[in-house]
Amino acid sequence: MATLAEPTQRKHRSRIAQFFANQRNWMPYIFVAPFFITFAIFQLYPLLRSVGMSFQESVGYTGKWEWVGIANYVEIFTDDENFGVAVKNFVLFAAGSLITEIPFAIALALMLSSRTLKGRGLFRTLFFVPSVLPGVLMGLVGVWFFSEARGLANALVVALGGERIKWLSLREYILPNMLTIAFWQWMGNHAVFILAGIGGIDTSVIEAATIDGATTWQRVRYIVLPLLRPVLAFVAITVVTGSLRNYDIPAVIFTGTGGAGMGGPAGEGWFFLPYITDAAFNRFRMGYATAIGWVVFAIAIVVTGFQLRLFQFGEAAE
Amino acid sequence: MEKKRLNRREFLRLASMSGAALVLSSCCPEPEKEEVIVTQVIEKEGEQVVVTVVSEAPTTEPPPAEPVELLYWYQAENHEPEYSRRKSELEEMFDITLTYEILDRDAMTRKFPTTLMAGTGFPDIIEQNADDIAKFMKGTDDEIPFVTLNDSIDASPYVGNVLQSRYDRYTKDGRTYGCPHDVHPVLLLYHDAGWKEYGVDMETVETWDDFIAACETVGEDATMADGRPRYAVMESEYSAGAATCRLQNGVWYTDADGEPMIATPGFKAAYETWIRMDPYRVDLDWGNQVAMVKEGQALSEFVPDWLYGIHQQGTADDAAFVADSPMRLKYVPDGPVAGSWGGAAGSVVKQSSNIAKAIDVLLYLYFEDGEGQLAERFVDTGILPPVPSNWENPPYVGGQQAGKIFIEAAKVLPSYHENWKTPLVSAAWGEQASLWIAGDITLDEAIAIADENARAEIEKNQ
Repeated sequence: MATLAEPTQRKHRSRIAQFFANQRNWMPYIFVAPFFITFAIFQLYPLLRSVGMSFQESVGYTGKWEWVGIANYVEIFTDDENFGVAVKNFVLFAAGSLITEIPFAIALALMLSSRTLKGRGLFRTLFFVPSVLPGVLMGLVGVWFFSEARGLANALVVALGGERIKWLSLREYILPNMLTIAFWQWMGNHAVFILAGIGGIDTSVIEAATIDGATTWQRVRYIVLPLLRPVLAFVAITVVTGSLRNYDIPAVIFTGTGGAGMGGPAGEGWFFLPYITDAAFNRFRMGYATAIGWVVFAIAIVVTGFQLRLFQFGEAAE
Repeated sequence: MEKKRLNRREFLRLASMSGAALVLSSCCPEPEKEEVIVTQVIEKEGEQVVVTVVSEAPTTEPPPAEPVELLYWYQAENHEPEYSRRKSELEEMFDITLTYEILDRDAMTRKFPTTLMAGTGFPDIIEQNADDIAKFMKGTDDEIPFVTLNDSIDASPYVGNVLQSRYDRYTKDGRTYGCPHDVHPVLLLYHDAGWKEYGVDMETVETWDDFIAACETVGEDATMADGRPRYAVMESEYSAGAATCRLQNGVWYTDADGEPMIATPGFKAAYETWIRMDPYRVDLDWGNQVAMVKEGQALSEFVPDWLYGIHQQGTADDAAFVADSPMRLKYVPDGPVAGSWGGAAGSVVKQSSNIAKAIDVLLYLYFEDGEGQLAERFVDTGILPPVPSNWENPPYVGGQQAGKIFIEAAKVLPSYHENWKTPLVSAAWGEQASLWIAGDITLDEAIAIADENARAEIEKNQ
């Protein structure tokens, strides 16, 4: 019987030897190893570690971590009004951005795609520029724009016969202020993407519709917009994910104009990232901040999945 | 000459052999140093003595010990001229190699705890904004990442030289975790000619009642000659005037035990005084404040020394500035007792491997004035050091009106305490204060809500 086992072993060894004898077998692994090693060390491990951290609590810098189970998650959903404010602000800010930015971006893109418009390149650049400016700078411009004493907003209000408004001190203006700045910053950017989408539409389709007597509105409604669906899906997803990541502008506006801190007037101005930052680096609750981060991640997955389905992303156009 | 190209197999073989050679060579032990035997014949009272000395070759002097490397983080850009200038002085004095790293406030507050978590990359000495040190004063001494400085201060030549009220801010349970870099007493900077246009001589303004009456003279709708609005005072709810009102009423955000002070009578009284300025004030405009005050668009501003230093920028020297410009400095209403706004403090990091050296360097840099170093700091930055024993020496007083009255205000600056609860309490107050100032809620409502929120936040973040 023993004599039967020996050839099997030899065969097994020879397979390993065979594998290493041929460089083509193992060399690709060597070449991709640097990526996977760095990915594992700098991304995968921190990611997995942060899952564990969300079930722990610590000030962080002492190195002592206390296991708290699901207490952080329970607190987020049952005992954290500021997180509720951040969720509400995210929903309203995302919806407001979609409603205000995308229609104007489509209109602007259609205007800029017109062959009769002169200086299209200049207009494209002008509308695109705010999106490449740092968020902090946009926040500072926002602070000036809404300044009670010297801001352009109140200059317009006064010119129209109204009284100066304390835009930055009252809770009812938090979202209108944010949406105004976001509109200015991102609308032109979206328009450039949509413009690129329009450029990709086969002109013969539009010409055929024109010959068939379709009006401008009919061409936009029944040809351009359906063909732009993937681009609009992309823009809508970036608008919503951008709303999740809203940080610079609220941080500058709320901390740069008063003592309200990152939460804004009456604590009604919390957004996710400022709140996570505050929990981690002002209150030193690293575990809790990490737990909020994972909840925000879950929200991002759900919302993006919903949008992909809504826009039938990846499915053939009808 | 024929060129030979390496094929892939040869290249890999060579590369792997080179790598292996490199690894092996680094694993080799150091070559043993060659011993040299020196035989010397000494004649000693008629007999020969042979002395054999065994030594390592070559016989050279032992290498000098490497200087200790210290990493120093700070965030105030206006400290840079002094620190750069004194780098070699510190290195020679303490036999160190000193590396400065300047980080903005946000970067420092995020990077510092993460370096502690990583156990690497942290500084030996960290100079932070005073509000940021307070955040770390959470839990017991074991959990606070800074070295307790009491014993070192007591044993230093600077004990008793430094304004105690500035240590109090960085002290918890009797343990001092930071050395104050500055004092920052608040004065009133005003545009003398501008006020006189309204018939107000600010020299005669002594009390808050006087000051509000002066503001009323200017009115709510004053304008410049070109039609731009004009304001009696530039001030925000978080800035120097508010801090002055609080300290004049004996309150801060938290007391020595960390208890919120929002609901105390003194806190309410402070803001009842402060709000009287509201109709005549404009919010602090960081970008334009210097021009607005110089031009007289904002007729006055409450300024600590560092903010006065910003106004002073571009002026040849302090005396000329005060003499030639229409701007003047005086005590705040009901002064000279005033508030304090801002501040930086240096701490030594517990994880540092050179704690003793770091403490020596910090104390020397902050408090030594044997060669007039602190005087130069004041001249360079306009920042008054917290060392009263040196305030009487030139150039603090030497003809400098600004320095003189800042010093008088600094002498009577009240103590106040901060710890990790203080930022929570100030944020809770700030959230409601903006609504109160905007007229959305009353002062009593703002105080009640802020106090409740502050206590809830403290409870949650224990």
